[in-house]
Amino acid sequence: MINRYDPDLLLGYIEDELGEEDRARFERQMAEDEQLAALVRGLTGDRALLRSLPLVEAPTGLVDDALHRLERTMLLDGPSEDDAPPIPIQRGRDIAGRSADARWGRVLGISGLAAAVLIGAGVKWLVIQDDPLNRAARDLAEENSAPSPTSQDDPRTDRAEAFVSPESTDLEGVDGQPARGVQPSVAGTPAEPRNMPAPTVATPGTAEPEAGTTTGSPGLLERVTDAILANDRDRPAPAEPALPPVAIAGQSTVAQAPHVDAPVIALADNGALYDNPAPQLFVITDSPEQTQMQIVAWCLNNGVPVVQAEGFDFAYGYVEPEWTNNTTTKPVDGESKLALLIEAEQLGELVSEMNTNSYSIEQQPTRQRAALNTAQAGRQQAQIQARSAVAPPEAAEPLEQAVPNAEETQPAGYAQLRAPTDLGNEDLTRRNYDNVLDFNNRVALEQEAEENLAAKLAAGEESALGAAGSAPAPGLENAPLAQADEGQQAVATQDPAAEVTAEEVEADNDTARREERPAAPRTLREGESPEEEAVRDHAEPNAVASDEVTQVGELETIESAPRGNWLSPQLPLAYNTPIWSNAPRTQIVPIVLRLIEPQEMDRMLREEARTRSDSQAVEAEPDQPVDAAPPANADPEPAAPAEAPVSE
Amino acid sequence: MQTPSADQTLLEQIRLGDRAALGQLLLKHEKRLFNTALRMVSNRDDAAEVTQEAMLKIIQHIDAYRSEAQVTTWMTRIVMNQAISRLRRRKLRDHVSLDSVRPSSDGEDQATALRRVLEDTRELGPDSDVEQSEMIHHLHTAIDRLDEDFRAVLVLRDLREMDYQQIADVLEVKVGTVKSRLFRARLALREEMQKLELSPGVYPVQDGA
Repeated sequence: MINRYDPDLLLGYIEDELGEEDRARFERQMAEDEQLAALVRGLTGDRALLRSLPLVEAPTGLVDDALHRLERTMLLDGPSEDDAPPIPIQRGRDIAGRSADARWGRVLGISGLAAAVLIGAGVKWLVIQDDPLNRAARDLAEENSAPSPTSQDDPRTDRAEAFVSPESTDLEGVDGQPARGVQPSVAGTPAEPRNMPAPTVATPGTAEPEAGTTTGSPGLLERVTDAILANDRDRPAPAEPALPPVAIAGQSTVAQAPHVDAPVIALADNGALYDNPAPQLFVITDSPEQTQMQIVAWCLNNGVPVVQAEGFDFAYGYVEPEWTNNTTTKPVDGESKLALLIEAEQLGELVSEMNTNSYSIEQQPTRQRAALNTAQAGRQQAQIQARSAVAPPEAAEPLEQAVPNAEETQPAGYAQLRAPTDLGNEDLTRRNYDNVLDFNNRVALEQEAEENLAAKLAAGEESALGAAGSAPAPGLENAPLAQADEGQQAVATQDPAAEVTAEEVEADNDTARREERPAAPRTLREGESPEEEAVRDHAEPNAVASDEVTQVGELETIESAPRGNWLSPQLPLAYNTPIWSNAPRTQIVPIVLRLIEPQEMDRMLREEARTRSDSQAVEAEPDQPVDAAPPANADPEPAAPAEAPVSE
Repeated sequence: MQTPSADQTLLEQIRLGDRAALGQLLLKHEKRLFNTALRMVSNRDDAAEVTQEAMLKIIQHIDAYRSEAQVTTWMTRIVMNQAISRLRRRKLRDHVSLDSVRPSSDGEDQATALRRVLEDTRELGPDSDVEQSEMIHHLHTAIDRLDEDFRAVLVLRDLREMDYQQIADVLEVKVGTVKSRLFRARLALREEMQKLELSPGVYPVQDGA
């Protein structure tokens, strides 16, 4: 049995950290177990070999090049360090020996740069000499020895302040104060001169130099040439986002994280971790019952591309508590969360989408989805039982071979789990085997249902879709479980109507989504009053639109991505480990990112405004009949529509 | 070997604007930083670039450095982060993680990894007399196949000979995580070494070249 090896003991022995007693005990164990002894010899040998590796001499010039690069950056104060390409490493020369050529080159470089700056400043000066605005400004400045006060509130003055002469730009000192007695050259000048040469307007963010800037600093050349060539005055200010961003690349920001009993509760962009410039989105769950593969399945089912389902400890079921500081996920008794690292490039697009559109994370299943899941759960259970009866794992055939071949039973693009051959415990192995079959069957059945649905749609059998409303409305948390029995009963009695209903319900969902039909009226849950339903609606924002859920997969960028290669067949590791096999399988209850189209957002805002105006009218004139309120078709001032999606 | 106090002295001089002290501090740690990067990225040129980038970050943030941690730990953390970042970029670029079968720090608990290694554990026999250089070559290849988190903990432990607390400080994880990760890293390394030892000529070159 594997478990008889204590990892701490084993590691302690290898690292030579055991006390006398433990050491003797472990050596006795090794004497009895040749396999263990061989392993320890191997591990110890590897360690010794690794420690015997000699230190390699660093290439010469590392420090010198770093300082050189820093010097260049400080001189230019141009692109940031991260943007600047690394200086090629010079090898085979020592620091002292390389100095002559390098210094001459450096001197030439600095001289050239200084010449360029002077030329640029001269050009700018000549341009500004011809500028009547600046002539007036100089005259004013000469007349007034002290700078005129300016109003911070007057945008005209602000803009005028941005006009600066070459002298003042060059000689600005610390904190933007004029250095060495140089006076500001512009004060109170007309803000909107027309038919004049392009004034030199400092680009946004550069009008006020940072503390510590000195002569010849902050991108002077770029500023001058940019201002002359581009005429920043006419450049529109960057548009403010219409809606607060829900995901910010590189800032470890949680997109939205409503806490629900579902696998995925947060989408956190952790691009800032480890200075990684690539945005990475982590799908995090706080449900210890969810396996890695279940989340992978969630991502696949929802069109979220998964490229890397490995990485830190969390894929193994562990998230450092400090990683959750910026999320709403909290460690549960020190237990772990699961997370997935999502494709960086496409997630960059996704984050961009999330920033330019209004998204909400919604909870599945809809009633239709729940009904479909119920029927499928019953069928898969029957299949599992049938398979178990035919091929029990106790048979000579290894379990892994008993699992249906992916190519035979699985459509391309779906995750295929492999059952472990032996987890050291027959019951555990058996359960894992069942879990794997369960998962694979579920995927196959879903594919089958989709194919049937597609066939029906192709045959024009959409008439039977009206049964959607008859599907029971599930509770958000326990609906799948609550309906599982019903689904099993439906299968047990071989009621074809139940299956057809489930599939057609799904079709209804898709069709409604495509045709943007209004959502079906909600039904009360058992024992629920209308007031309670209203509260529930408020607490479950997705409920309003539960019939027209738009999944991430409908995004063009995501949808166009190939599905086939997202997962490696080697991925299902955590799933097969004893840790997670002990957890009961739970229904996959996906949350989807819901893209709110601009039209829909506009409609929602109009409705909200209309409702507000109605209520205000009623409050203002309580004696008037309600029908005296503005007619429903009298649209209030339309709210600003959501910003249109920005195509990448 | 200079004491940490010597580093602190250099730091003070640097903060006072002594550029020579900056060069002195970097030169003093250059070799160790480079070797750390080299063991991580397994490529001399990449290691040089990683070291250079790390040095720049060290220079840029040296004012923000506070003496809660040793200077060496702080500098090692920076170079390690740079190396890990580069490895991840490389991995994302190459999509290696999906196409290759590698031991990884995820999805596999200690028991599973241990079981797999044990299944393949055999006596080395005559192969144990293999040349040291070949073993080192295998070792480099095996390390190169490890997940970056595994590499990091092995490099810090065996190359830099740091204790668990120092490793935890560098990697910014808990000591328990360090131990767990180190154990799994050793198992993963052993597994790779076994593959290489038992399949001479197959690894690392599979195309027969």
